[in-house]
Amino acid sequence: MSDNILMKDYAEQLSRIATSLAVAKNDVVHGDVAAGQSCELVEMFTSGNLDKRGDKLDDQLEMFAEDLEELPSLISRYIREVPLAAYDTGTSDTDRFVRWLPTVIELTPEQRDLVLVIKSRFAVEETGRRNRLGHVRFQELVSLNDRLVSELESNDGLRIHLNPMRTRAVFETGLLIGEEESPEAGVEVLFFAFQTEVRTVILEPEGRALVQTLSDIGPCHLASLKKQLDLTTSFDDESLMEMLTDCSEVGLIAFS
Amino acid sequence: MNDSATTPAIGYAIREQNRPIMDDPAINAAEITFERADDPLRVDRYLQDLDLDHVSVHALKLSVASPEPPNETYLEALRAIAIENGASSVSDHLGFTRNGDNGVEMGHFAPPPWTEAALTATCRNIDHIQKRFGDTRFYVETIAYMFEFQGTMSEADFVSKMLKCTGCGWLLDVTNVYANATNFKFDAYEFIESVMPNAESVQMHLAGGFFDEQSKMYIDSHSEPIPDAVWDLYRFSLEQGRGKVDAVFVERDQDFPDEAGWRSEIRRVREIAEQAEVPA
Ligand SMILES: [Fe+2]
Repeated sequence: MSDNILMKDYAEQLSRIATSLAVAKNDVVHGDVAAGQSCELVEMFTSGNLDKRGDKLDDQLEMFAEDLEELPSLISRYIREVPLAAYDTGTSDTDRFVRWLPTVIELTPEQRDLVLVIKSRFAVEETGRRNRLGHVRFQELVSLNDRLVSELESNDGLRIHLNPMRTRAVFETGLLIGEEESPEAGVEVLFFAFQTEVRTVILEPEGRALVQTLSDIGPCHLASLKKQLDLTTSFDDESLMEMLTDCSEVGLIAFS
Repeated sequence: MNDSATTPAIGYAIREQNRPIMDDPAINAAEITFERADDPLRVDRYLQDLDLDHVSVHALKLSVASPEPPNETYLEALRAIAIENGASSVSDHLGFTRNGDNGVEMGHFAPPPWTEAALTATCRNIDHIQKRFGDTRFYVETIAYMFEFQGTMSEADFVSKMLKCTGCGWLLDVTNVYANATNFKFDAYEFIESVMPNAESVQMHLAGGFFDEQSKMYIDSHSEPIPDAVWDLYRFSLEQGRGKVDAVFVERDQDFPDEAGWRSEIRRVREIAEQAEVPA
């Protein structure tokens, strides 16, 4: 047999083995197992792998436990139906799980908000993965915030940077901000990276304007920011300073 | 610490539980598990301020026996962790975890069928990885398996040919060889003796598992102290590989020892390595 045919056969064999063992369809590989070796051990192999996968999902979906009674059975269905993707990272399977979830059950608005939390945290991590240097550089700037925030009003040369590792989400309910009522327009939240963690802030209209402006024209000097905000909102100086101070404390903005 | 050129660098696979003793005088090396270090939001390097003679990055998803070489994104991420931490080597397992590039992961590596086709694919992938890593040496680890696929040659032949045709390093996991020999009834000493001459450079892993009465298998769980039989096999492996063993790492993932336990185990690893330098 030519090398090409041998390699094609090999690729087919491995593909068949990997796709079936990924979801514990063990019988598919029984004919591949070496003579005299027990197929029960194939089962032990796949059940060990699925258990590990399930435990990880369990851990990362802890916040769902209270709101989704059937979570354990859904996890066990998911790991048998949807194979782990090639190059799965620490949290990518959980992100895929919450994307799969609405395809199999109808979610309540509260559950949809929890899904949004997981997706948003994952989105911030992925932004960090795509732009590692941007994250590290911004965190270096954040480490100077304590010192530079006091120069906000006096140093005309100070530039304001918006954290590039961020994503916006709108919750349907007040569940995650501890409010019983669901605000009509939803709750707008910004997820962003602070060192190795993902933080959140609720965006009120002023905050939204500030983030939007910095995103459009930043990094920029305070004067340009003020000018731009004056054109679009009714910000007064004092509340702007207060908001910039708060944002620098949580690591949403930084200075240089 | 004995800094003779022939004593391998010695240390632990880093876990949060052994970080506090990584400054032990018996330790001058560390292995970083890539998947643990690859936090996309990391700000500091995984090694923090540890200063060691030998650092190796251990990967889980190169899937060297897959039909296709690993993708660039994964290789680049691995390279970034290696550079950040000043690693002089990178390693992964002799097995496959996925089918193709856009395919699926099984969640753990299985051994390739010991066939010519698998050997060709494995060597081609190793060549690709070695080209990508340049001077950072790549080691391939013998895994512990629960079953094998039908093949046309022995594992020892497969590993020997792979080492000869690629020149990659051999990561001899002494406990894995012990586990496979126990479970599949072959002679661990003969296996090591036949493979070792084909390796240009060697790293070793040591760990402890347990014998599972139900499956009648030795399980390489990394949860126990290194058993006596593995210490003996380690001594033998050092003698067989004299002059080309670069580093030895102890792996522990569960049921962690106390501080004294961590220290005494690694000191024993060093003591035996230093004794093995002197020809009998
Ligand atoms: Fe190992």
